[in-house]
Amino acid sequence: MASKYELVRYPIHWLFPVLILVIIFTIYPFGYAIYTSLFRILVVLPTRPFVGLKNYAKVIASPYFWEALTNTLIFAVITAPITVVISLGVARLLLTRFTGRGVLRAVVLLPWAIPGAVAGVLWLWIFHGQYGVLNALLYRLGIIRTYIQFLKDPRLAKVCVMVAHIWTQIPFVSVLLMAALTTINKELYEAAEVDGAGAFRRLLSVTIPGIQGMMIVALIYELIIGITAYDLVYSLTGGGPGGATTLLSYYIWQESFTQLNFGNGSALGVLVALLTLVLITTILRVIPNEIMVRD
Amino acid sequence: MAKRIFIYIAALVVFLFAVGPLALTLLGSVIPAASLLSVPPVWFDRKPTLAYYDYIFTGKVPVAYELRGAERGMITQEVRQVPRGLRNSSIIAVAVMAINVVFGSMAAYSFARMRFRGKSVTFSGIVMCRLLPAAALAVPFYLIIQGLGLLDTRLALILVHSILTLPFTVLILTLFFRSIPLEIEEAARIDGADPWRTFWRITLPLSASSMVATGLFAFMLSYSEFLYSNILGGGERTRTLPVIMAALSTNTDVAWPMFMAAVFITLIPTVVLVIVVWNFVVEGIIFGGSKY
Repeated sequence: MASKYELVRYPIHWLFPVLILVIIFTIYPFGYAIYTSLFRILVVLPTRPFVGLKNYAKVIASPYFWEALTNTLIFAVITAPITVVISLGVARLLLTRFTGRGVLRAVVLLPWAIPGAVAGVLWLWIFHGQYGVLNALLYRLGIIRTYIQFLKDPRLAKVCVMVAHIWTQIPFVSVLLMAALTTINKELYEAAEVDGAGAFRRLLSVTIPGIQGMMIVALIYELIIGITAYDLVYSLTGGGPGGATTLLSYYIWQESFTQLNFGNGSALGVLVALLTLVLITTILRVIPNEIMVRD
Repeated sequence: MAKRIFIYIAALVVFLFAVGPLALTLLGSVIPAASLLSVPPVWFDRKPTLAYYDYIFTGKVPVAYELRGAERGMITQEVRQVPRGLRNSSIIAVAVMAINVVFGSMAAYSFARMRFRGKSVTFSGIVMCRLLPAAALAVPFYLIIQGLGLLDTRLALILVHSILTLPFTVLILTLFFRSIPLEIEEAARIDGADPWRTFWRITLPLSASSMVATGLFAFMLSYSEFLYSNILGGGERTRTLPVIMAALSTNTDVAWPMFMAAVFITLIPTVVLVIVVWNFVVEGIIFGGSKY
């Protein structure tokens, strides 16, 4: 397939701008992160002694790290599949003909385009304990007598962050799944219907096998997004109450830029990178066929 | 019939879920603070007001705040940063968009149309870079930008946002360039055009729509980026809107409707982009303009 192109020298003048940016700002920084993680770097102290792997030992020994890690894994493992399942429903709906579909398609992407830090604020107003919309609504409907402190209760706060996160993620995954759904041969549905398959049966035997590649890609993508979530937490809960909604990225930021412990921050960063590396290798096995299929 | 009803109910739920939080923000920004904070909630006893928007843009303190001590709401100078934030965010995002379209398309073209040693390594290297968690690089980015003397400048944010968006741009444009029939370019070659000329005169004009798409995508990512904007551009001069919003969300001195007004101003560019422009582009990409 590649033979229709002539073999040329490495096209450095085409690639130079992108390569230089990627090398200066990704590969070099990552090396730099590994390097700084071996030193004790506290911004308030003038000296930067070499400490070897002590930063890692300290980080791993910290209960806050384990809390953030557990929070993050639970967060990613719960939100990713829910997002994919809801998105499948939304994608299916958007491909169905009905009056007003155009309007729905126009607005359904909105949550995705909203900056994460702002999405946190939108949901802050809904879940707020003193003047939140949800509290006002529940009160007006007579369901509650006193306002619920959604963001002050560790369990409820976790649920709130997940709801808000899923809200921001549905549009993009829906678009991915819509693209996949349009590639399924319509005759398969007709054949299934002739064979007497009900709606649920058709979903299991035609739809899901037809888009499973894309569903897996979406799932892994969402897992990574979940593991690296940051801005929403920052503006919705600030990691609280206590550390109940502190996710790894937020924890790294806290350690580096509020505790000003750059050594620990770098060590944490390297650990999180390793964690995602496991996912990335999985992705690499899945993505190439997908791209081939689309070509 | 039952199926129809189910579809409309589902459509209504999706609509409310997508638009609800935004509509509430708009609503919250015009209700006077005293009504909004009442318990039990009575939101509609006072006339809606645009005073909060007025304050953000002109600094004119809402009348209610000067009248009675008891109903005096909280007010903060911090929301006055919004107009400047809007300017910062837009300048940065437009620059990032330009860098993406120009440099990203050059790289993508070489991946789509040339054969060379190290191609797949370079390509996956560029795309994989984005899979490194952003927070993992927070400290080194800070130290590098500090070393370059670029802390608290828009240039730093333009550079960093470009790194974050270029891998996507390269990936999408490579796939797109590959889908353009090779024969068109070959015709140009036979007429004597070199690769550079073929790229500028033939390929680029043909792929205008996907360039617009990826450009807007880069704009949106840059406009939304928070982590690095927060770390690298802490000062008032370079603060972008997400940074201001996050700061306001932890600022207890801000009147809630005032905050909602600030949020809504932040959302206007994204709403316009999504509804007016992006949807056409997305539909074009997914469905290739075909009706189904």
